[in-house]
Amino acid sequence: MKVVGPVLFWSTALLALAMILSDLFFMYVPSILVTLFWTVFLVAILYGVVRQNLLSYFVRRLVSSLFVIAVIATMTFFMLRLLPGGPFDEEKALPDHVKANIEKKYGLNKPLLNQYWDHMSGIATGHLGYSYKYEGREVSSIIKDAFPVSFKLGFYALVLSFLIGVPLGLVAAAHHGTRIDAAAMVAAISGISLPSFLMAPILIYIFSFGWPINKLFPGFYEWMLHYDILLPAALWHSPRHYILPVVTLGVRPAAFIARLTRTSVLDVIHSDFVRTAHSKGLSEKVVLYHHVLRNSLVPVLTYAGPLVAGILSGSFIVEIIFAIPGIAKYFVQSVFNRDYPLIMALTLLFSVMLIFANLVVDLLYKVVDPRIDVS
Amino acid sequence: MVKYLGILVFLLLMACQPSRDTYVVQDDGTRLKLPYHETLSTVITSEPPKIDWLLSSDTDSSWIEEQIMEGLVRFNLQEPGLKLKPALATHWEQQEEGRVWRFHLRKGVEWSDGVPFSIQHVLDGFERILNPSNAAIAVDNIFPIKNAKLYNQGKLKDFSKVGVRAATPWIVEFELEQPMAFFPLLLTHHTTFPIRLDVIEKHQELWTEPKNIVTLGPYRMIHWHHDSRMVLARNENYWGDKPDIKYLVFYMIGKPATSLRMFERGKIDFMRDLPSTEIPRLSQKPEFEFLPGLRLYYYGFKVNKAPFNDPRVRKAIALAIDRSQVVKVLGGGQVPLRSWVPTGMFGFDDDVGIAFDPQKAKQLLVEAGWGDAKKWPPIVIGFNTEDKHRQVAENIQAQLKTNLGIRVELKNEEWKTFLNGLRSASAYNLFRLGWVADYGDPHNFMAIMTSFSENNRTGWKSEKYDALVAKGLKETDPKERLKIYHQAQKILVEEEMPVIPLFSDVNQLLVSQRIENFHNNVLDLYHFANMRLKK
Repeated sequence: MKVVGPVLFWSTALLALAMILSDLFFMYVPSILVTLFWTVFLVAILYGVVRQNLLSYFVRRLVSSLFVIAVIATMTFFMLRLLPGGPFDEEKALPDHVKANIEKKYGLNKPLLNQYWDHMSGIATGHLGYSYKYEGREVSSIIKDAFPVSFKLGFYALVLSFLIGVPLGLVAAAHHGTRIDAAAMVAAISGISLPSFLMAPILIYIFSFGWPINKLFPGFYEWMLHYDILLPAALWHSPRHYILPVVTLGVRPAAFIARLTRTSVLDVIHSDFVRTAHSKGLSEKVVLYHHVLRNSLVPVLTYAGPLVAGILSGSFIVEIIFAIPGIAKYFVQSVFNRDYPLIMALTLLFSVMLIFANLVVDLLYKVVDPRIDVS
Repeated sequence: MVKYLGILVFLLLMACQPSRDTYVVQDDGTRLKLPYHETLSTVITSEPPKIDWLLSSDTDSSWIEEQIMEGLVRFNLQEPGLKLKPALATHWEQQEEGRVWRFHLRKGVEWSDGVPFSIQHVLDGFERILNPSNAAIAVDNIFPIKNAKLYNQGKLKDFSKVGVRAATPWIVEFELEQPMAFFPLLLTHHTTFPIRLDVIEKHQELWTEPKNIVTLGPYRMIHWHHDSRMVLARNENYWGDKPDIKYLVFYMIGKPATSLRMFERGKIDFMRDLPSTEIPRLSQKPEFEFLPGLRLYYYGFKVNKAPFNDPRVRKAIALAIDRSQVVKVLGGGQVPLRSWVPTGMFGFDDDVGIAFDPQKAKQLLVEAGWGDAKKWPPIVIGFNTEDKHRQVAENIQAQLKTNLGIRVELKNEEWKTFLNGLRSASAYNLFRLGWVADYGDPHNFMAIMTSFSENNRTGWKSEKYDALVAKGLKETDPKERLKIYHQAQKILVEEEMPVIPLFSDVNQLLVSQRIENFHNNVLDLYHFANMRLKK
């Protein structure tokens, strides 16, 4: 039985790696790989739940989540109807009978409670309906196209933020009170304070327009333009396009994680079991990586739950500035367009992600620190 | 460590494709190369809501439809004057002084899938857009056709009673409600293009996807990555002159500042919708092209509430606004406008409208009993949130303060909230709106302000004006029409003043130096089939 856990863990990791490589090298991820990854991932989680004797807790959480989602859907439905202006209002006003034709087509002429019932039963059976704005496109197909893009962007940004944040925090804590610590924390605070709508243009200006090279060495700049060496200023068509948006999106959480890790490591480093480990004669490295780091990750994980849900559902600003075809801008635009079915679907999507991410994080607590009783 | 460095360098090299060509990864994972010297890239502001030329009503969709489809006639954009040229109809003639029109169809034309074009496709198009169950939005343009409105309202079930029919297998006959001199102009609009019902029947909602769609125009759609980009390729099956540019790429980029960066990096060759705050800088560039278009920008009064229920007060406000200042703030080549019909259109009239005269304005206010600015109720100018509208509103706010001493409040709101506010009588006292020509005839503008028009949001009604507009529509002699529109405009922007025309807005573009044979035009219509790329 002991092998199953590691096998599941490593196959999830390997499949994820395969997807990343396939995406970076071929700009194409075969759908079979995606399906396989999600299957293994879910099986791994379920296995973890069963192993930790959390099945009844897990089921309880799922049932309460369903209730939460129903409440969210209901509130969204009625709040949308309170917004002034309807989906088909445009600068050019419509003749009354044309408006009536449209309302009839979309069932908007029915009594509100009937519409509510249609909507809820649609959601229950998995029919999210057709978008009002992108006529003839199913809401589910919009999400299917746009969500993986945001997911990819968010995923790379997450990986980046953990790869930078955790070591940075660890280094700062290990060199507590020195210049290294100060430098790391200055970097972290700058990263947190620099908003992405400022960060993005600065990065673009430097890495896409070649400032200050374009001013200092115009000849070299021309050469770079000719061979297209500078990074693209926008769009999302190849790995080259990923770099700037991923960095823009990843810097803030990276800085935050660095600070969290540092504080938490400093807390743990003074506890009794670390002193015991030291007095047992273990090397500094082993103590730091094995005893301290693992125990310091609990607060980071707490932050990671909402972070994962937030970052994977995309960032409006980053997607707009870099013209990335992700889901985040629909969160804003669907409201401007009063595209009721799309707004509803996105709200539910975000809720589900938040609930799911929190659930996974709660389960991970148990893995990181077996003393915690999540149920 | 060295090993990892090697991998990193290799990754970077893979990621850098040192070439200006564009690659498109198609649905099946294969890559299509679009060579730089054969590809023109441009930008639209959003995912086209639907490439269904009969049901779509937005500019992004229609711009693409103009490239891949065509109707009975087309505008000749190569020459000024907005003349028509034959397209799917070779020639046409009118009968009964313009109440009946007959269009002779071109023979031997094929759709992009090889099916021959026939008269049934034209008739199907009209049935489809008028059928109430399709809930077409931009349908009112074809209401001049006899019984079209009744059919669209569902009051008439028999389509054969609608005034569009096959006179012979190659002649379409239109019977109108009343004579209309400019009827052929309406047929340039994409809502009158032919359609293939069999394709829609087969693929249902998915018929506009690249693998399903069939078209007749100089280009055809080969790739559509939703929300990202669309690629059109030359239609080798096109009946007329084949376009010089082989591929067109339409990037969907919501933020003008982003598109501008792409343009400045040479990734985009042609862009409209420039960021308004950048206009003063961009107007210095050789790539900048502008032309006052058939676009009216105006302020309207809600005439039901004091003090604007008095025409003298409305007139005083109009007299106190120096339009040249407004235009200067925008700095993009807009032309101050006193008349209702914009510059560049038949019916434009320099003798109509009132000019800046603050002294007279004050005098009128005193006459009307509103001379004391302190006694004014709070005045609210409403507009939808956008830099440009804010710039205009702030300027007008300042002018009214200096010239009349009146304080006005600005209220900007999100688009649909603003439109909803316009419906109420009390949300704003003054509001900004615009109108872009659907077709090149003044009736399009005059009809907005009739008392029964949904687009008249002022609450102002004048039977005299309504009668003049109706008369102008029927009149076939251009000179007589001009006279009628002169009278009607006098009522509108001199005597009653429910609206203040401010300026003709401009079509502002950035056109790369490698594009040749580009002709700007007042309709803001750009057919890439006419353009060429420098080799």
